[in-house]
Amino acid sequence: MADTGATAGAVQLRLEHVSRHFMVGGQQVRALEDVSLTIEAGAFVAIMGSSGSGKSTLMNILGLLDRPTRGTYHLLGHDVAQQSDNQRAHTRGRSLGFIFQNFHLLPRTSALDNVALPLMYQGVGRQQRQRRAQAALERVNLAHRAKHTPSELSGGQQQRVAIARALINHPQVVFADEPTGNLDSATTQEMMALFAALNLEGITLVMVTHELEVAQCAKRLLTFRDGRLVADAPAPPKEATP
Amino acid sequence: MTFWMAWGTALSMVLRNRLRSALAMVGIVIAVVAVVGTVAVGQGAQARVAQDMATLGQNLMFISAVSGQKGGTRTGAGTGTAVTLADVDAIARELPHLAQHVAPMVRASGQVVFSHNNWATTLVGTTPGYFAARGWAFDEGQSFSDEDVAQARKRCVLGANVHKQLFGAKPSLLKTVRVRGMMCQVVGVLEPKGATGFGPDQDDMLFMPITTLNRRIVPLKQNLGVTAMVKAVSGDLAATTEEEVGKLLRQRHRLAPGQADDFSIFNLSELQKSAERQARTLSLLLSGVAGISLMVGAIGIANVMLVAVTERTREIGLRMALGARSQDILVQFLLEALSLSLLGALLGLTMGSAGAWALSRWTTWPAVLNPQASLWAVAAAVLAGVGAGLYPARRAARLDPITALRYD
Repeated sequence: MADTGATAGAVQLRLEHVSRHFMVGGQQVRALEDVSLTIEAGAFVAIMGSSGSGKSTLMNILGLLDRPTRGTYHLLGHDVAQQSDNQRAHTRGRSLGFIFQNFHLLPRTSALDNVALPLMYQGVGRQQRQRRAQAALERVNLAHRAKHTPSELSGGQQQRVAIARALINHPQVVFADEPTGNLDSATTQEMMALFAALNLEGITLVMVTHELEVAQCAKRLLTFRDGRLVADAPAPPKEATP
Repeated sequence: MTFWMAWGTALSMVLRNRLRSALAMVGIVIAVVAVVGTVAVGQGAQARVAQDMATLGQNLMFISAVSGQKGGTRTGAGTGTAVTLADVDAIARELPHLAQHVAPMVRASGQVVFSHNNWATTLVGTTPGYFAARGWAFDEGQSFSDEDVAQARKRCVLGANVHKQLFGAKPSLLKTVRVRGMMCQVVGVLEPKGATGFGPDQDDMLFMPITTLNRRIVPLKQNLGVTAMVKAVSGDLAATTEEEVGKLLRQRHRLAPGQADDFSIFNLSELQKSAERQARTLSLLLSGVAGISLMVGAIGIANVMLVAVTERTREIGLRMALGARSQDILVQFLLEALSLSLLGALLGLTMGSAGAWALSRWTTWPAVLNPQASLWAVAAAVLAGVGAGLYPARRAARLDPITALRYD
C-alpha cells in the first residue's frame, strides 16, 4: 500500500460517522460522536479543542492505535477498522510516523539507536539501520549528537530525535500529539519551521495542539467540542508579530 | 523483527540492569550447581565402589563360621561350628549349576625369605579355583595345580607386592623362597590389583595349596575354620546361590528348623546392590533439592520480569506504536527471561564443574562429570526460566498501546 494516495490532493484518510465510546466506572463516555472527515495527501491539519473534546481519541483512531466503536475508517485506500492487530502494526511501522508531547525516547539509549528503533520491526539489518538513522538525524540537523543519550540532550533536541525517528521509514502520514507542549517558544518556532519544511516535501501532517499560534502554522484547522467536530476551516493567518 | 535483533535487544536489557539480573539468576545458578556438583561427586563415589567391586571379583560370596558363639548354650555333639573343607567340596559337588567356582581359603601370617631379603606377609592356603573365581590374571607363570593341592606340594604364587619386596625387578619364577622355614617354589606372580576400600592390601599376599599350608605350616584340625569363596554363575542368580548354599550347609550341619545358622554368608553382589540403592536414594534426594532450587529460581525470574514489564510499560507502548506486533513484544520478553536463565545455567554449570574438579583435585573424593546430567540441568533451568517469563511476557504483549503510552 506504500504509494496509495501519494498523489497530492488524493484522499488519504477518510472517516465516516465514526464514534468512540468507553465505559468508565460503569458509565458510558462518548469520546467521539459521529465524526466524518477526509484528509488529502500533502495536507497539514491542526486539531484543536479543550481537554476532553475528543481530539486525542481522534488521533489514536487515525494513528491505528485505537478502533472506532462505530463507523468506518479508510486509510491509504484500506478499510483499516476491519484489519487484524498485526496488519495494523505493519501499517503503523511502514506508513505512519508518531511524535509525542513527552518525546518517548528510550532512556540510556543513543539518539542514533532511538531513531533506528522502528526499522527493527521491519527486519532491516544493523548496518542499514545505522546508516538510515544517521541520515534521518542529518535531516533534523542533529547528526553531531548521534551518540548522545536523551538525558544529554535539550528538550528541543530530544523532540528533533523523535521527529527523525518518525521520519525514518519515509511515512506518508505523520501524527504529532502536542509536539510543542513541553518546549519553550523559541524551540517551538524552530519545530514549526521544521514541520512546514516536511510538509513541503509532501508528507501529510496531522497535529493536535491547544496553542493557536502553533495551529496557525497548519493549513487547515479542525475544532472539536464534546466529541463532535464543530468547525473545519482553513487555519487563520498569523497575526503580524512586532 | 528478526530473531537475532530480538536476541540482541533482550541481551542488552539484561546487561543494562546488571545487579538485578544477577540477583534474578542466583536461584538458577544454585540449582544447576547442585545438580552438576552433586551428580559428579555421587557418580565418582559410585564409580569407585564399582571399581573396588571389580577388583574383588564379581558375584562373589564368602561363607565362614559364625564367630562369637562360644558362650551360652551348647547345641550338642555333632553340631559343627565351622565351615569345613568337606562343606566346600559339597558345595562344588551339589550346586554346579549355581556355583561357577568354589574355593576354600585359610589365612595365616608369616615371614617369607629369599636370599638376604625377607618380608612379613599374609599366607593364603587355597585351590586353583580361587584365581578363577576372582578373575585374577598372572603377570608371570600360573597357578599351582589341583595335583599340587592333592599332593600338598611346596609351591606358591606371589602377590605383586611380595614379589617386589623379595625380588625387586628380578624374575622370581621357579626360584625357591622360604615360607616360615619351609622351602617353596614360586610358580606364578599375580598382576597387581591395587588397594581397595575393603580389607588388606590384595597385592601383599602369598598363596599356596591349602593342603600344604595345613599340613606343613599351620597344622589345623580337619574340621576347623576355613572360609569358602563361591562365585555365582551370574549376578541374577547370586541371591538364589546364597539361598541354596545356606540350605545345603544347614542340612550338612544338621540344624533343626528354627535353629540359627552356624555360618554366615557375605554376599558381595548384595553389598553392591545396597550401594546402588543408596546412590539412587541420594540422587532422588538431590533431584528434590534441585527441583526446589529451580522453582525458587523460576520465581525469582518471574518476579524480575514482572517488574521489568511494569517499569517499561511506556516503552512497550512506544514499540507498539512504532510497528511492533504483540508477538514481537512477547518474544522480546521471553528472550530476556531465556537469557537470564541461560546465563544463570551456564554460570552454574561452570561453577559446579569447577567445584567438582577442585574437590577431586584437592581431596580424596573422586568426581566424575556427567555431560548428560549437566545438559539436562541446563535444559531444565532454561525451561524453568522461559516458563517463568511466559506470564510477564504475555502481560506485556497484551498491553493496549494507548494505555501503555500514557502509563506513568
